[in-house]
Amino acid sequence: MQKHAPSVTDPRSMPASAGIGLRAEHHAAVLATSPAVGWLEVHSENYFAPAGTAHSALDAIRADYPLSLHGVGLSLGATDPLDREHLAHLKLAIRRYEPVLVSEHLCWGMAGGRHTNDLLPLPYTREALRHLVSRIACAQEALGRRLLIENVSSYLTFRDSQMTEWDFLAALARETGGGILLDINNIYVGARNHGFDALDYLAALPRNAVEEIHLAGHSTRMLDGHQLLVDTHNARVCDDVWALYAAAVARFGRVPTLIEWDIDLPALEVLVDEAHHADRIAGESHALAA
Amino acid sequence: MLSLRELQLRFVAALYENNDAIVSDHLDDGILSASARLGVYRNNLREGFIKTLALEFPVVERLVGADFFRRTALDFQSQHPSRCGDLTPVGTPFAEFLRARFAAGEYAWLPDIAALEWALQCVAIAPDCELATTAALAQVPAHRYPDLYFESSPATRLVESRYPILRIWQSNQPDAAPESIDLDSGGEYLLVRRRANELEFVKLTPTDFTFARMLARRTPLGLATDASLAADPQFDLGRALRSLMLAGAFARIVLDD
Repeated sequence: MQKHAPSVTDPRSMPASAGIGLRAEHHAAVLATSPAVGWLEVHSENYFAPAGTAHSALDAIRADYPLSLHGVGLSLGATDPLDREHLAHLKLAIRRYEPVLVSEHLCWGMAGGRHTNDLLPLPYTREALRHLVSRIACAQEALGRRLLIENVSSYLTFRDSQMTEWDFLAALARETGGGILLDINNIYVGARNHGFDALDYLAALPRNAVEEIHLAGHSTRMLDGHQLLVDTHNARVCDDVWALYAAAVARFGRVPTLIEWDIDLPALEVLVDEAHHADRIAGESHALAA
Repeated sequence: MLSLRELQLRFVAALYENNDAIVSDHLDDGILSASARLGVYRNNLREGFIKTLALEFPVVERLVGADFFRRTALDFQSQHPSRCGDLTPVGTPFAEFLRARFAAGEYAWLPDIAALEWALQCVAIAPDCELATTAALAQVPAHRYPDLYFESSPATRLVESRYPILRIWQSNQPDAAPESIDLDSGGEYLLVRRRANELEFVKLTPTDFTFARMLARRTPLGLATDASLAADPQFDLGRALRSLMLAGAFARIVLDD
């Protein structure tokens, strides 16, 4: 594995290159080998505890890499009150690690005090849009930080939706002034599960709104004799998603791009290899578009 | 059209209570039925919870087997659903749940194993703090000792059992050799602590354990000493207090004016 050159990357700014999702299983390998990736992203909630081995590792790793905190539990789309304790933990993590980017999801996960700890899709209604705009503003004010909002994978849609997911996301970006974290695999999974054209999704988003991209693998589940794609983050990025990524770079330009892998984690080298592949594709696509 | 609030309440109820009908009219069918689609999220709800609980209680899972653990975890989830966006706290009431279920039967020892594993979880992520020292204790005038009380170090927990839970825990670590353990071979009285990033066990005598627990509950030193002497005339206050302080049990010695 190549050694990372800390002098090349300033941990206080985010390069428009590929990084990897850092999980605890790879802490030791990252510390030992300093892999040549542009930046790292961690799940915010894994650093909510006051102390522990995760903090010790990230304290050391963080000195050499720009960092992004990516939340999975704030439940911005929920109608239960915004969880002030969760926000306080997130604020502490932001203060401790000074991430360059902070992101959350376009989803909800709780109702009536019961959490699903999942990224549940919203009905794309005008009411939901107003609600999201208000909640994002509250969260950003509480955190003192601008949030990037990520589109999620979905396995169902709501009859009451009044607009498409991409129109909803574009409107959200316009009305909040916030950035979009565009998950290309999630678009692909949604397109296959719900039968829309992924390129329509990309075309609907403002060119300057996408500030980060996620890439991941998915799996296929058979239900009632039909295929359903599930966003499992347990495999390499598939060829179709790489092609969609190239189209995204052509439209939005090069932005920080993350390789996510959460289940059946492979050796660190595999993630680094995927990140380098993303850099190659982004370079080629950007050059062609220019 | 349902309000967003009503839709979300119904959706979560459908997942937790296996009642697709209360929300399925509001979902698109497409090629797959609404129930099949809801099933994906119900599966995520269950599997994510079971996986988290198994990570927090690996020895309990190993002792009862994966299938029994899954069924128990799902029963536990139905009574104690996740209450926050971070799954980490879901294991908080697990030992008491097991105690209510297994207190009288052949698994009566299992809740104590769960309590030990939860203590380890808590200690592993507790905040660091300065520890009270014997030097600080020495500065207190002797006549004020009965009024002293102690604040526990956040990175310690006291765990007791009438079963040999530490031996059971140690013999069920991934690299441990299998061992046959007599459940009636005696109880254990433990102080679980973290030093640097290492988790450690300090074995206490039953009297010292009770003394430590009284101090952890902020019983003044004089009262805790009298109670310990009443229970065990051989109780040695100086030795017990020194050993607890050296074990890092206390963050602060407090003397109210």
